[in-house]
Amino acid sequence: MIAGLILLAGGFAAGTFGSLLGLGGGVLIVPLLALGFGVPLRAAVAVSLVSVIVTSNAGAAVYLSRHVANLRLGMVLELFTATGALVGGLMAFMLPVEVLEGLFAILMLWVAVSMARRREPSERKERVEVAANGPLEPATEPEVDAQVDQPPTAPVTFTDRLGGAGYRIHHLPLGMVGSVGAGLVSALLGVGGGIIKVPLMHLLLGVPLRISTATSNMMIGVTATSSAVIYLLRGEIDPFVAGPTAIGVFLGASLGSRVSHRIDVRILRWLFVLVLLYTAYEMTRKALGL
Amino acid sequence: MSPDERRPSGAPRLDPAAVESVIGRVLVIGTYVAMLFILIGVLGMLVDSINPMSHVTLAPFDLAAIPADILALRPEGFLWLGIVTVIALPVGRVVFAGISLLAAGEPRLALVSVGVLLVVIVSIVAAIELDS
Repeated sequence: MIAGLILLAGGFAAGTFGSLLGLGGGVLIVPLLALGFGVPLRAAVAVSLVSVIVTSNAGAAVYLSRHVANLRLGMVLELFTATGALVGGLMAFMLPVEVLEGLFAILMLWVAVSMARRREPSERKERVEVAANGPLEPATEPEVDAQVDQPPTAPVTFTDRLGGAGYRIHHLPLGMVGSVGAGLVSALLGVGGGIIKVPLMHLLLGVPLRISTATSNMMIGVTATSSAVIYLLRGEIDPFVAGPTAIGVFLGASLGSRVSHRIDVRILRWLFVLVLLYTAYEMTRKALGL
Repeated sequence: MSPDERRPSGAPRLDPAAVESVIGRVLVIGTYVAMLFILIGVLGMLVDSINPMSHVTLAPFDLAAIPADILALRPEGFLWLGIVTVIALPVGRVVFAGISLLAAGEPRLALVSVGVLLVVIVSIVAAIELDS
């Protein structure tokens, strides 16, 4: 009984801090389960994918109701993230666990560096947030970049029709290739892949930041589903681990999104950079068998 | 509704904003329903003192066994139903969006949603083939 409550509390903490810091739950859930609770890495990735889909569903509901997410663009890119997730889901069962641990350590380092370099709210407007699974409640309405191209008066091409109010889509083929990579990372490591998709859409495709974050959040559900079914049918999802964790993450992410605007997360962020670095070190040790 | 918002057949075009609102509402309701199933399962496992840290697969996934497990009030039945609902929701969203986009006169985007569904189906087939 105690173990179930501990899992629920762990999921709650991962959901809350993930939401407060704009991180996806997967980045925190996988090490929590694998290093904290001794769950085998593939099983931890599987449980993380379920939790990631829960937060994506809840977030997408809010974003779509408020018309923040770009449904058309998201659907096109989903085709490629889902394909990457399919390949990644199959690769996850072929690669040695040590390789997955090594890849996860690299991801942790990348997220730690991204968080450390993130500027304060007053000056970060121009920067890309590492918002993976995203908050369940967007803090403000979407901003439309002042410098983006104006939409054509009459959309003529398929790509033109994927744009939105105040912006056009650029470099769609490159976005498709990058989306395959995001899906691959998501399936292998149990994360949402927003760390790739948000910068990809914002910097490469020219989508305003908030719309990129919302669209990425919406896409995560389909992306993670493509690989989650592989983990499910191969018996890697333990319902007794996934249940309490998913409930905890859902409640934690809901709380985090509601209080995020009232909390100064600067100290919390630096604390998490240290936690991520330590986690990367531990994952590296496991990968190398030290 | 202005005449240019109507298709040649005279049928009114679907409003994309309305489609997004409907999908949003369905996702909200679906998420809460899935969480309710999982919560019942978690409460059941607490009552039954099931240890999730045993690292032994106590309840392997069997779709056909879920109704019997639920009728017998076994926690794994509710947990699996919740997890399957969670995983099915994004697929449902793609299906609904695809149908809506087709009705809105966007056949290419509807085709994209068919492509996404095909990828999910290939995932299922690949997992079954690998397992066997």
